[in-house]
Amino acid sequence: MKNFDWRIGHVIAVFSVVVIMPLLSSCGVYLHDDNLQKHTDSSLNTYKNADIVATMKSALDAQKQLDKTELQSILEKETADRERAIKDLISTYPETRTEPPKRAIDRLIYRVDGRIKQLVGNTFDTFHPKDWLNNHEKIFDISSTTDALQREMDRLLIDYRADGGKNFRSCESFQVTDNESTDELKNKAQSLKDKCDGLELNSSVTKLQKLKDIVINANGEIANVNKQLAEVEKKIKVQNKSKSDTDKTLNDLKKVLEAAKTKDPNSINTEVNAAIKNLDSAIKNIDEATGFVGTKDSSLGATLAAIQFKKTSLRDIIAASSLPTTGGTTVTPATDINRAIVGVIVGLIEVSNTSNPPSIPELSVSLAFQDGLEKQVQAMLDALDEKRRILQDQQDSLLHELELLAVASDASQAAISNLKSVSCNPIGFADLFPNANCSSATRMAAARALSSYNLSWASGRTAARLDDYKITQQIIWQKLRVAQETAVARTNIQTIALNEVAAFGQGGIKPETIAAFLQAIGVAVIAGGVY
Amino acid sequence: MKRFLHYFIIITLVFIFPGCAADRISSSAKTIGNDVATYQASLSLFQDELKRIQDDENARIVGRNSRRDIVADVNGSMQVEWMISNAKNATDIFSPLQNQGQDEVSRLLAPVASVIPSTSITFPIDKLGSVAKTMDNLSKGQSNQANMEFLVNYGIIVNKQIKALEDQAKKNSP
Repeated sequence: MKNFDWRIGHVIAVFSVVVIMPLLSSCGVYLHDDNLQKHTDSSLNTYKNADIVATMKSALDAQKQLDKTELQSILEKETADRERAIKDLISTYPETRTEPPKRAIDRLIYRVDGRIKQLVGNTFDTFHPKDWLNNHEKIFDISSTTDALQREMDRLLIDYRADGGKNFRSCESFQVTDNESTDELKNKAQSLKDKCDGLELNSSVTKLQKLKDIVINANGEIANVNKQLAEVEKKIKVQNKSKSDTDKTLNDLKKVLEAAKTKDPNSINTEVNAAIKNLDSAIKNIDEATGFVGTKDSSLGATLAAIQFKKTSLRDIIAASSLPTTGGTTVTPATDINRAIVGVIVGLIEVSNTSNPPSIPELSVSLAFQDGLEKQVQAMLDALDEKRRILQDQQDSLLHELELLAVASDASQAAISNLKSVSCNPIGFADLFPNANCSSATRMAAARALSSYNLSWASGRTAARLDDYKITQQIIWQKLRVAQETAVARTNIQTIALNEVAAFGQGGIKPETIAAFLQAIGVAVIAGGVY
Repeated sequence: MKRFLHYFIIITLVFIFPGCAADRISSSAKTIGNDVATYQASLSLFQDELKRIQDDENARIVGRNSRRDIVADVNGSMQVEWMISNAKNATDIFSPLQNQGQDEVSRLLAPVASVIPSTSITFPIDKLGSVAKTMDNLSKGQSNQANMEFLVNYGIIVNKQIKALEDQAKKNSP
C-alpha cells in the first residue's frame, strides 16, 4: 500500500508538471473556490434583489402622481377664484364700492378689460372686440363648404357675365344696383352678391389669423407664450437638421471605409486605415462638440445620430458573430478586422491598436452603454417635443380666452347703455336679472357678458394656467427621465459584469473532478506496469 | 496517502499559487466595486434631490389648497347669504345657516389632512453598498496564508475524494 502511494504521488507530480499546471496557469483554468463562489453569487443576488430599475420606476410613478395632484390643486384653486369673481359680480354687497367700480356691469368691464390688457399687451388700444366675434363658429361652419361655395360662385359669375353683367370687379366692391339691364340680370347679381357674402365669411379664417398675428407679436401674455413656442420650434428644427447632417456625414465616411475594405477584406491596409482614421476623427469631433451626451441643447440631434451610428455598427457585428461563417450571408462577418473597426468607432480601442480587437462580450457591454445613451438623448428630445405641444396648447387656450373676453366685452358695451336709468341701475347682477324695469335685450346682453367671462376663465385662462405648471413639471420630468435611462443603462452594464464575476466564481476545477481524473490515471499507469 | 497529499500540496503551491481564483478576479472586482460605489453615491444624491423636489411640490400643493379653502369658504358663505336674503320664511333662513354650521363643525371634528402623504421612494442603496464592499474585498486578493489554507483544504478534499474512489473500486473488485 505504501509503494502504491509513492507511485501515485509520482504520477501526480509528473502529470501536474506536464499537463495540469500549464493549463492552470496560462489557459484560464483555475481551481474552484467555494468561498469565492459564495461571495460572487451573493453579490449578484444582492444586486439583483436591489432592483434599482424597479425602484426608479416607482419613484417616477410617484412623481407622476404628485404632479397630477398638483394640477388638481391648481384646477381647484382656479375654480374657487373664478367662482369668487363671478359671485362678486352677482353680489350686491357691499354697496359702497370704490375700487373696482360700484355697478355690476362696470365691474365686469373693469375685469374683462384688465384681463384683455394682460393678454394683448401694447395692442390693447387697437383691440376691437367686434373683430373677434364668433370667428371660430364661422370658420367651423365654413371649413366644410369652402370648395363648394367657390365653385358655385364661379358658376354664377360666368352666368352673370354671359347675360351681359359688367359690374362685378371683386366681391368686396360688388353691389347690387338698379343699373342692371334686366330684372333677370338683377336677380343673378343678387345671387352673386349672396355668394360673395358667403365667401366673405370664408375670409374670417384669414382675418382671424391676422388678428392673432397682431397679438402674438405684441408684448402681452400671448406674445410671451408665442415667443417661447417659437424658440422651442427653432430648437427642434436645429436638432432635426443636425441629426440628418450628422447621419449623412457618418454614412458617407462609412461608405468610403466599406469601399476600401472590399478591395482587401483580410487586412487593414493603408487605404482602410485612412478611412478608419477619418471616421474616428469625425466621431470624436461630434462627441467633443456635443459634449458627448448632448448636454448642449443644440447638439442633441448630432449626438443622437452618432449614437445610432455606433449602435448599428455594434448590432451588425454582434449579430454576425452568432451566424455561421459560410453560407453566402451578406452581413459583415465578425472577423478580427471588423471587430477592430467597430471597436474604433465606439471608442473601445484607438486606431493605432487595431491589432487587438475587442471581444464580442466587450462589444455587447458597449452596445448596452450606447443604448443607454440613446435613451437619455431621446428623453431630452422628447421633452422638447412635449414642451412644444404644451406651449402650443397654452397659446391656443389664451387665444380662446381672448375671443371669449371679446364676446364679454362686446356684450357688456351693448348692455351698459341701458343700465343707467333710475329704475335699472343694478349694483350686482343679482339685482339685474329679476328687475322688470331692465329691458329683455339688456338682460340678454348682460347674461351673455357674464357667461362669456365665466367661460373665458374656465376654458381659456384655467387651461393656460395648467399648461404653465405642466411646463414647470415637464422640466423636472425630463431630468427624471434622463436619470431613469441612465440608471437602466448602468444597471444593465453592472449586471453583465456581476454575472461574469458570478460565472467565474461558479467555475473552476472542482476537487472531485481532479480526484476522479487522478484516480483514473493512477489505475491506468499501474495497470500498464510502469514500476 | 499522506505522501500523496504532501506531493499534491507542494506541487500545487509551486505552480498554482499565482493563479488562485480569488486573485485572478481582483482587478475586475476593483473596477466593478468602484463603479457600484459611485452608482450608490449618485443614487443617494438623486434620492435626496428628488425628495427635496417632492417636498417643495407638496408644500406648494398644501399652500394652494389652503388658499383655495379660504376662497371656497367665502364662496360658500356668499351662497348662504343669498339663500337667506331670498328666504320666504324662518325655516328657509335657518336651514342654510344650520347646514353651514354643521359643515364647519364636521371639519373641526375630522380635520382634513393638510399634508399630502409622502411620495418619496427609498432606493436600496445599502444593498449596493454591500455589493461594492464585497467587490472591494475581492479586489484585495487573498493573503498568502489564506491561499495556503485554501490549497491545503483543496488537497485534503481531493485526497478524500480519491480515497473514496479507491474504496469504492476495492469494494467493486472481485
